[in-house]
Amino acid sequence: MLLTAQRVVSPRSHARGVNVYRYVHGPYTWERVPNDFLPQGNPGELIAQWIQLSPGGNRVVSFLDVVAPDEIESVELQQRLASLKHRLQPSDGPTTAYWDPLWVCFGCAALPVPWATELGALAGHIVLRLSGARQQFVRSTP
Amino acid sequence: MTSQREGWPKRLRDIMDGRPVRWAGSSNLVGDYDGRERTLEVFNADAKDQRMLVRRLRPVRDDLELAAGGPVIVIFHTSAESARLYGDFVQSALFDEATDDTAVEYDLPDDVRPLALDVELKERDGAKSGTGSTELPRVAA
Repeated sequence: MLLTAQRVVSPRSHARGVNVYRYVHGPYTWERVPNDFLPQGNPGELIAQWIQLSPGGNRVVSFLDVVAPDEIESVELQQRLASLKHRLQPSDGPTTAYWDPLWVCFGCAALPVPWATELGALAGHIVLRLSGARQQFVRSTP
Repeated sequence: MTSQREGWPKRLRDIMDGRPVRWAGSSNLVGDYDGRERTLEVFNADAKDQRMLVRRLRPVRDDLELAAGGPVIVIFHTSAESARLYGDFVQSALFDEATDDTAVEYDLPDDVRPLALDVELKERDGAKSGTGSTELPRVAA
């Protein structure tokens, strides 16, 4: 499966949101994500989307792509999403990494928030959507 | 001392790549041993990762033991045992960790250069395979 979260901004209203998408690839397992299932070539088939800001021409200012086997245990997926901000290291351009059965790619424009915080936020939005929970509080940057 | 002690699980969680950490409650411990009240539990710590996690503890161990009031005993729970025996706590802790940053609000400057533009997609129609979009939700700006 491919899980994607992207922070988008409307060029007209400047409204913002994080949209989350879930694609499936099928009942495959692997130790390392095959090239055939990397998102640029084959994101899979979209089966669910959680839309905060209606898409169509909005600016994408950050995104997180996570490829994993469709049948991955939810607790393992949640642990890895929680760990991403601690494991990935910033690099020039989008940061990509293979991590056991996962492949991840995080891209981020020049935002007024730490790189790891934005990564954690997008990973957190995926967890929120998959769990069906709603965001319940707001915290300002220090 | 108590407040310092209570802050350590979150600090250690960050050191341990987001794994759930807590001070062991007396109800979770079997037997009596010196340092029982200074026992830390680390979850989703599989055998292949434990040596690395112990190394990460070393630089903070003195401060940790100062806050705890003495030598600290660390118990690692594997992922399988974490799910089998402590599923509710682990799920809750992971959810909190994963969603910690979602609540951060910040002002976005108007001149941020976009990475891409988003596009509208169609999700699969019920169970009808092949009816959902097969493109990414963004294209080059």
